[in-house]
Amino acid sequence: MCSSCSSGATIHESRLGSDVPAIALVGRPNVGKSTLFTRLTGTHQKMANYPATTVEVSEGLLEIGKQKIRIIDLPGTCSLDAVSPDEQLTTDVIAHGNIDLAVVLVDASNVARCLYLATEMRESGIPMVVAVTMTDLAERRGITLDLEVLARELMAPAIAVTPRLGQGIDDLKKSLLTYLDKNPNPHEMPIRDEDERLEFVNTIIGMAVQRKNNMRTTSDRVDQILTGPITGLAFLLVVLWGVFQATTTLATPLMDLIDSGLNTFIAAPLSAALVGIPWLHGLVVNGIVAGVGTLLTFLPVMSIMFLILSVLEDSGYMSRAAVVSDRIMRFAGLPGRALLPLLVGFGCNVPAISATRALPDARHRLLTGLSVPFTACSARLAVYVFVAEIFFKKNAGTVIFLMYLLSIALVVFFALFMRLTFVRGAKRDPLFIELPPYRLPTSQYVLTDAWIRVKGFLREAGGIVVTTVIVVWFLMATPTSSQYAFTETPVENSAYGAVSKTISPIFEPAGFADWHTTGALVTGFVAKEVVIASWGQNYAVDDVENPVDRQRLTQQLKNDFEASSGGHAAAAVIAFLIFLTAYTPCVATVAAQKREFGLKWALTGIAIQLTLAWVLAVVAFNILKNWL
Amino acid sequence: MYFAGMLLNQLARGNTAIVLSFSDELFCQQLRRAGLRAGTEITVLSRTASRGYLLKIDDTRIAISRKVAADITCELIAA
Repeated sequence: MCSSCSSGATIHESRLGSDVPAIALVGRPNVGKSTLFTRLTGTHQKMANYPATTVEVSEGLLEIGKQKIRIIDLPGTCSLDAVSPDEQLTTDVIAHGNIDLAVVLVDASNVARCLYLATEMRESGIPMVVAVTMTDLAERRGITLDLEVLARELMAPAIAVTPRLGQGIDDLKKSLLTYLDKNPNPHEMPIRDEDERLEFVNTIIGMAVQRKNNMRTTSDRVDQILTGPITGLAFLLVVLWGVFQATTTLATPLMDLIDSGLNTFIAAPLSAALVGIPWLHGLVVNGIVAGVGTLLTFLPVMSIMFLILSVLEDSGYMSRAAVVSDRIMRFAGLPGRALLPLLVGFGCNVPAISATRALPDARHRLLTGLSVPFTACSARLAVYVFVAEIFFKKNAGTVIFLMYLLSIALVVFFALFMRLTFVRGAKRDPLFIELPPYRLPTSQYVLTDAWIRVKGFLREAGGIVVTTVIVVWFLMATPTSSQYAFTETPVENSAYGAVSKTISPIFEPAGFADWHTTGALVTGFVAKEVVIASWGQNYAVDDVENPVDRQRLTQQLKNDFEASSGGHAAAAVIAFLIFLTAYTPCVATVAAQKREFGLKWALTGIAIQLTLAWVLAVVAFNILKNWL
Repeated sequence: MYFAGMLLNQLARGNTAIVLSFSDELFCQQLRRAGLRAGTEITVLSRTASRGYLLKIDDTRIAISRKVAADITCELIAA
């Protein structure tokens, strides 16, 4: 555990810091902590990165009558002796945070694994009550837990709850209210060493737990299929195919619907109303509405992604997927769970960044999240196809295929590079995963969880996306000479054209130092979908879908690539495609990275992507120009 | 059947064994926290796609890689 990972965070440093009493939920992973948290707080919750960490903690407000209580859902941990940044945060909050009461969750279907932490918590002296979860599952497995014995031995109140079904929640709330004023643990528990504690746990198990059978369960038989060498991989591929389809095929028509709805019902009426005031028309229609529209079109894909993530996690399949994909991800030095976000990235990078939440280790989340932008999203595919068909007609397919190979290679090498440099300590331990029981996901938890995440994305990414679109519009609307009026200037004579011409020489060593192309790359930062349209705009081509206009655009692109590369257009085009693959995908991806990992890492990511993209493009051009 | 001191990755599906020791201290803490310590009874439920094992320890199910399995010495008690 590195010292920099230690947060030393207190509850009062959190975003909900106030005099409202704080209750922390503490437990091992997969004991139903998040489900209980959602039951207690509903949608009155928000995520917060604790100071000096990338570990995310959910905080929410529980209101019982007039009493307000802050509920803090701490990262799951097996022990207070932390081995990861997530666990360290829990340990730090327990040690230094001003918690008024802790609710320690014990899984009734797996008591033996939970009591070590419960004993440590009891020894820490923090007032605590025990919430016994998964009683329904324990019953199905023939396991009986004597709550009275458990409470007596731990010297703490024990309450049975089934958060998924809402059972026992009222009793728990009453207890919380009572024990905020009254010490739930009047007797001190002696502090034991590890062996004594394990012995104590075994003693409690012997007294409090009865098993009818301890045989191979249906869940074990399902696991044999879902984690098996051939069947497990086949099932994982089906799941991944489904996720990919849902985030592309299913989401695309919904995105188009929102786009056309915004155009028909908002942009068109506003356009008609503001036609007499060009600057206001431009600001509102091409700036604000276009910016909000860009953000809202991501709504379907983000909602679908978050729903899928919640279902996969809540059902218990995510851990099985991590087991199956572990070997596949080993070559990139990433854990098995990183496969899902990286594959989703080939559809769209934005939900892929959010999908890194499936990774329990904060360093692996960061590493995967920084690698995602190198996956060639479907928006980049449209540009590959357009360019490859113009310049490599017979070999267009091969060129596109090579770009995908490059994308995969970039992800692998970038992840390995980052592990050795910026994200040290993200070592990849050999596989060791505890598998949670299979559960039927509950609609309340899944929908609430997805809604909170979508809301968070809109709130935190919205500002960046809308501002960037407005800035690009403003640059395009601002003339560089008095000859033209604001909003009525040709692109070439706008501030945007001037910026593109200023940046353009940077790409001279890569063979595509032409302002039309540089400008397209600048607008490509807003969204890769607009690169082709931007070329059309820069070349004053009205409609790139129109065959005549398209032919004109094609010819001008050929001429300019030929001129800027000194007669090595093919090499320059390959260099351009390489740059397109490696540089920052879009502003929404940056916004998602800022939300997940903070501004520092989002900016670091941009700097690395731009540098790497430029170096690769220059190297590729200078090698290929000798042959092409 | 009785064999002493075999490695966990020598066990076949369905075998139950008692853990004797770990050779790698690195994983020792993690394994102990998951309930896998000397004296624990484990059953090999199946092989996994990652060429590892799915183990049953009391009511817990744990997936481990071959590398981890090769660090655990155990004593077969039922085949």
